[in-house]
Amino acid sequence: MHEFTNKAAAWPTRWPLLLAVTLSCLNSTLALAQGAPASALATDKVVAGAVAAYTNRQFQQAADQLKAVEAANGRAAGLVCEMFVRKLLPADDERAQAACDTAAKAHDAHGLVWRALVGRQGNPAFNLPVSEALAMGYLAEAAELDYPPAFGRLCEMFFTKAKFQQAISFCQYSAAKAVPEGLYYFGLMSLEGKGVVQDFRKGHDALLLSAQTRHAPALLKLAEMARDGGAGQDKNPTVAYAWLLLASAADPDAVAIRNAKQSLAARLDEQQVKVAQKRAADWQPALPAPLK
Amino acid sequence: MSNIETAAGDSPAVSPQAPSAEQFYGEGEAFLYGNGRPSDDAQAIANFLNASDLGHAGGAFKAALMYFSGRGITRNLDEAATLAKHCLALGPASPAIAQACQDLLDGSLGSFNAQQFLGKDEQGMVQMADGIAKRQKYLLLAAAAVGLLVVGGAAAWYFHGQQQDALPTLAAAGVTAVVSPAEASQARSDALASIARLKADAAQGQDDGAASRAKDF
Repeated sequence: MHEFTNKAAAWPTRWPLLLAVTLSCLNSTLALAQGAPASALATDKVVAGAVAAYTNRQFQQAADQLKAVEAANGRAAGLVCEMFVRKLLPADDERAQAACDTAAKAHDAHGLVWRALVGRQGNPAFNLPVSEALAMGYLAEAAELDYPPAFGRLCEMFFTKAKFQQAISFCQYSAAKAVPEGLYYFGLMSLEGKGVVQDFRKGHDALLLSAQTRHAPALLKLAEMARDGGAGQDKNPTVAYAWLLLASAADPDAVAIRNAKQSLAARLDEQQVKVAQKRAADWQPALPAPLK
Repeated sequence: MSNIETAAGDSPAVSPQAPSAEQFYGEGEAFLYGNGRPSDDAQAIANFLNASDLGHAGGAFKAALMYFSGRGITRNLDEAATLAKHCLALGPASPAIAQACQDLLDGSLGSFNAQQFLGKDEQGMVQMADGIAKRQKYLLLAAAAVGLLVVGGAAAWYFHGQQQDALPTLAAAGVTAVVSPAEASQARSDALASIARLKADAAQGQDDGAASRAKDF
């Protein structure tokens, strides 16, 4: 069993797909224009096919397709690294480590982010110690490649270290690029006035935007705001429970969400629970859900 | 008097001088109110029953009221209902009396109104029945208005509740973005400058993270 998978890593974005498709198309076009060898075109084709399989949640098929090319292709290695980190594939520590390292060394932005997440959590099987600083190094490199999720992860790292003045620029930029983590932390900072002028409305809006990607921490925070009131929000336990139902669906393993849900359910009557269930079932995110 | 006349005189046929329904009713009222004789409720109801038997709707109604109130006779609601039905079948002269018979039949007349009716002559009963009908009409209208208010209030409360319990949406909140393009551009510059500072610190050995990163490659 992998040890290195962390909760933060379990929050995907849709950037992998967008980047993969864009890069694949660009690579193919450039390769054709430059008269690239047939093998480069073939690799891009394989990666594009794997991305399609990944999009359809056929992770094993995607991994099988990438096996032949991942050692020499950063994009392919990055995808494989991500799938191992997120436990979308059966454990194979040797392949996972190789893929993550290959992606990082190939300066693939997506791979760098996932490699950073592995480094941040540490992994005995990989013989990797926990190193936040190392993770920050990988993320900084990905950010310099202008990869928004890297800004989102750096925002998260600075925020958790309470370095709000440093966090704000990363959070603001990744929020502008609709990165779920960036929106979430930017929302928290706006609500609490940390690193930025306190603005309840902006904070709530940022959380709402993050919730559109079914970002469980954002859904939980919205639930807490509706449950407790304040920060410009009225108390509404029914709405709070609806948010908790959505949060629970987004991350069934999260203990904090499960506890909050159970505790609130005990205070609601049958009618309120029914209304909340209907609200949650009817809820449609305005943005497409991120890749799972 | 001949035998034939005697035989005819002994026959049970009603003599031409037998009181009419109207006369029985008038006698009943005279006994009920003590007009020209001592008041006698028992005699009154006997006369009203006779009037009823002869097809007088008012007599049936008064007899029904007396049974209903237990006045001049043991109270008997079943008998009162039977007489009220008879009153309706006979077709009272006034629609108001018909309504009063119907009210008595379905139990909505009430003891107070029954006593009031018994205290009035036929004309008075008609006026009173009209008054009751009007009051009932107003009551009905008032009840309908109150009902509408209650239903309207409940509907407003329900829809307000529905609105309150709805999850906020981006469209409802008018949210499109929380960071303007100018802010985003500035934030990106600041973030990259921050990274550059981290790297510079690492180069001076102040940050082991960047140093580790350097070793990693």
